[in-house]
Amino acid sequence: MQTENNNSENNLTANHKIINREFPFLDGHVIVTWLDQDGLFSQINQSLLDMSGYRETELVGVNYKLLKHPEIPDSVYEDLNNRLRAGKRWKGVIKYLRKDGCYFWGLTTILPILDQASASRYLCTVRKASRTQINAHIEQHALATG
Amino acid sequence: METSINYAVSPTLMDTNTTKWPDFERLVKNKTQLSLTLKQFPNSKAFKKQLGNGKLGLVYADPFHASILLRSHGYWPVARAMGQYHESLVVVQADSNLMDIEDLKPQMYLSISVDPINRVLGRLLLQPADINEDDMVCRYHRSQKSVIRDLLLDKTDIGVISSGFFDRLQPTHKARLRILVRSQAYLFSSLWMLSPTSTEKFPEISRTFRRMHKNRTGCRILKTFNTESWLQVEHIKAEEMADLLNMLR
Repeated sequence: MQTENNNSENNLTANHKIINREFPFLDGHVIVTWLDQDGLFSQINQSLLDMSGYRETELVGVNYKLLKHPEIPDSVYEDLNNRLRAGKRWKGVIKYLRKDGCYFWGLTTILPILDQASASRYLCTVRKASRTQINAHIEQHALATG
Repeated sequence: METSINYAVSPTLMDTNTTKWPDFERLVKNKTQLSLTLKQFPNSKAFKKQLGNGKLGLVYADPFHASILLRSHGYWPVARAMGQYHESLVVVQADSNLMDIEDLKPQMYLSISVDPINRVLGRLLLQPADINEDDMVCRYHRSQKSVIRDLLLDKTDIGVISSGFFDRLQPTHKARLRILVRSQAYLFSSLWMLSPTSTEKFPEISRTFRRMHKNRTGCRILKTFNTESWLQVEHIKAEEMADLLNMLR
């Protein structure tokens, strides 16, 4: 998955309004997305649309960093990318930015699907995180708690 | 020319309507000249043992068995029922003081059926309470009926069962229970899988499934599967379901 913060990726969230309000993760839902090797959404499910507030046409073919909340430190994504580059799964709590500027927390697992030696695409699931997991993440990364 | 193959159904998908199988066999024979013989197994363990022996030409497999057939034995996905997904519920007694999944605490009693999909979905549902099966006092059951019995006899705090099973409960039983949370994952479907030794039959069988809703007999059979039609399943979609199951287990 592409790791460099190029200008176009930064622009994805630069024009976004940020509202300090949590959107609760919908009970029983699981976000499932497939990302191509460049980190672009290739397949998404209804739960992602419900949670992000975007339409399908606004997400497919777009970099996953569209949902990156600016409060999430780059170190989280560096860790994520390092593990994926090594062909390992990554699991952790991530704060996501919705289209309306609110945020939601999700327990995220990303699995590289290996085609011979390198990852050809990535399977990403996001589930409701527990409050304990969210608080531990906030403490670890000293985020604003909202 | 008439040929015959054995077929089987995951025990988790076997319901009390046993008459649907002869009807299904007759329809397939009419359309494909393929004579089907149903092989039945008492439980998932016995069924799983037979999956790799090459004697089952066609299998209606729950997502767990479908993944095994796909990945380990080279079976081809044929069809899935439209609108049918495996979902699970966390259920409590109607008068329980548990109101939310986050009210669950370690060391509470959990009754759960051993069906792997139910356990995967159960884990997803328990996740927001920061607990899993290891933190609870678990009562594992082969049958979902036993989970309900535990709840009704006050032998457990919560039960995890498939939503399909809950929906079919008698109203008197339902009235004594309350759903804490229902999965809405839409991820796992049961699949008809064709053995690699029967792949020359794939076009006919696939066509028979795809066209089943186009005649009255077919519609009647589909009704017994609680669906309106079968949808073709691409190989990559079955692979994705297997990846997902593997990831979430």
